[in-house]
Amino acid sequence: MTTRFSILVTGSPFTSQAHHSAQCFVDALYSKGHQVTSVFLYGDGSYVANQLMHPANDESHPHQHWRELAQKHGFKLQACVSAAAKRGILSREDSELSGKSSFNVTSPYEIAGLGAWVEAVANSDKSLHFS
Amino acid sequence: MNLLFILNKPPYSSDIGKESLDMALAHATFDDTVSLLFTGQGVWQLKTDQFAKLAGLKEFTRLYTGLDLYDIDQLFVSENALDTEQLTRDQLMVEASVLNDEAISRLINQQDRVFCL
Repeated sequence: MTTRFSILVTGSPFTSQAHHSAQCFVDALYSKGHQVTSVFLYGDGSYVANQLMHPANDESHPHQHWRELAQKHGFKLQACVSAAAKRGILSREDSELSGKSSFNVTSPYEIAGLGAWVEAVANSDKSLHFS
Repeated sequence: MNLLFILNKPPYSSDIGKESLDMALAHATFDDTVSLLFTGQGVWQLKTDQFAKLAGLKEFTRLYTGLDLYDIDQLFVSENALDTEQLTRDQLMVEASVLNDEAISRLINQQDRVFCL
């Protein structure tokens, strides 16, 4: 039986294990035939949406890993607009609206309101939080 | 859907209190039934007479006195946490039900989802 999960990630990419654990978990879910309604990045978790993240070649790259997983499995990868904006994580549209000179969020990452998370929870059987 | 948010962190040492409240309000706006449980150092979020401005911070906790606008009327406080933090019920800015650990366990079991950011 397929179970639908909504995944909340609030841990910071490099001072918590949240992203690594969530990525392993999400990949395992799909390998067992389950689904993910959204991976929602909130609080410090939204830092991972920064596409300018550029770690050394032999280090882990949580931004790239989420990108590959979302492309492989097709789940929504959403960062909360208010959490992201205050941390300098901006889509092209939000950047233009706030008069900034650049942006750092690109597809499959999306910027979304908290309503998107509420919807993801409503459409899932279980929710998991990685902090 | 019945959701419980457990608030266990003090109000101003991080943005987590504010971000938890924002998420709880979003759920309430979309017609989920939201309860809040204050436990651990989270009970300080409800303390009267906060002067966050003195520290250059926004006093987001004022929102706790207007939760009826969002149809959130289920506020709970851990009895154990009040004892540990040496706070009394009359030092809290809102009417909240004080629960012992057994009642907290029952509250958690009644929920469809429980979040503790």
